[in-house]
Amino acid sequence: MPQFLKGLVIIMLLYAIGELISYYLNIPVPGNVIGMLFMFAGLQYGLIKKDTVEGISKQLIGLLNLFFIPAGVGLLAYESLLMDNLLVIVLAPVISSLIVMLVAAYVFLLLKKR
Amino acid sequence: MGFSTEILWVSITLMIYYFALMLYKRFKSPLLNPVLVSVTCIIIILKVGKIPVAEYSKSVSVISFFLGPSVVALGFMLYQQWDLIRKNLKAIFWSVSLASLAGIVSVTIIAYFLRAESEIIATLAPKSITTPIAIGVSEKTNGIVALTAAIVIAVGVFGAVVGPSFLNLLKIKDAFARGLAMGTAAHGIGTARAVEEGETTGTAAALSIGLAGVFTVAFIFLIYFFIGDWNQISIFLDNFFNSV
Repeated sequence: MPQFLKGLVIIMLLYAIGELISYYLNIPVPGNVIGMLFMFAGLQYGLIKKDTVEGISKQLIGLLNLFFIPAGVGLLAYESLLMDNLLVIVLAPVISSLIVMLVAAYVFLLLKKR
Repeated sequence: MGFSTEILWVSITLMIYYFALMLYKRFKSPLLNPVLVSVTCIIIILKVGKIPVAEYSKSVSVISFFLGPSVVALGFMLYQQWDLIRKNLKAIFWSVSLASLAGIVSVTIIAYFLRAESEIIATLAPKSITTPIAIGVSEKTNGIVALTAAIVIAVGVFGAVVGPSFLNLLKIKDAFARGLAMGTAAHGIGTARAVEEGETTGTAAALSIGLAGVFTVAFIFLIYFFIGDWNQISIFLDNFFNSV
């Protein structure tokens, strides 16, 4: 359990540092993504021990879906705006998402080392 | 006051998510995506109970808070699969950057042809990337921030539900390619689905969340720098399609 707590402390610290950097440098990259890069760099250069963050990281990633639910329910607040622009708000992202998947998969397969 | 609405809504949300997850594990149907089922159930409860969504959102902010630490935790997955990533660095770079660009350009052009206002185009442009980055982009480009957040979730659910079947249809079998496609198109929700396909697919998706976010930010701001805001982009597209 202390290991788990230690891991959580590290994650929260990296998150906080990321947020501070994002805020003070006024860059559009959010603090959590900066924190993610620090997490990777810290592990890669041996500043963070793998065992310390492994448990908590896997738990958090396993619950990723849950953390999105409030934002999904938030759609309800925009009911009228949604209904007024239903066609564009549904059609454009749907077609565009399929295009994104197609391009991502094929470009990777094309350039992948065999 | 008495009973805290936070306790009530947080417990209800956790309970519904638990049952949605059980349902999904039992039937394995992509249509029973746990986010989709949970969000639908909660929306029905709020509608039936005539409860303002703002009250719900305020009560469950503790749940959304954990998105931040979870994204930081994805750094662990990058570390674990670094060898695989390093081997294909070039392919990953071009895959995610071109797909991100294709996402912005296609959504803008489709929205333009459907005569969407520039506010709506700005709202839709960062649709494929993870919520916190999308919100930042929407805010700085004068989109409707909360609507962007909601659309991002809807796109994520769509990618998670339709993505695997679409990739089967395209006959994409490569685990890494599938992960890149899911993560680039459907960020964290796509990644949660990709993790189910295995560690390689999950890692590729996790990797693309950050990469797609960074590339999308870069491309949108480059477009801003060279063409201008979404109003000017509409005029640019007018001129472009008139001259063709």
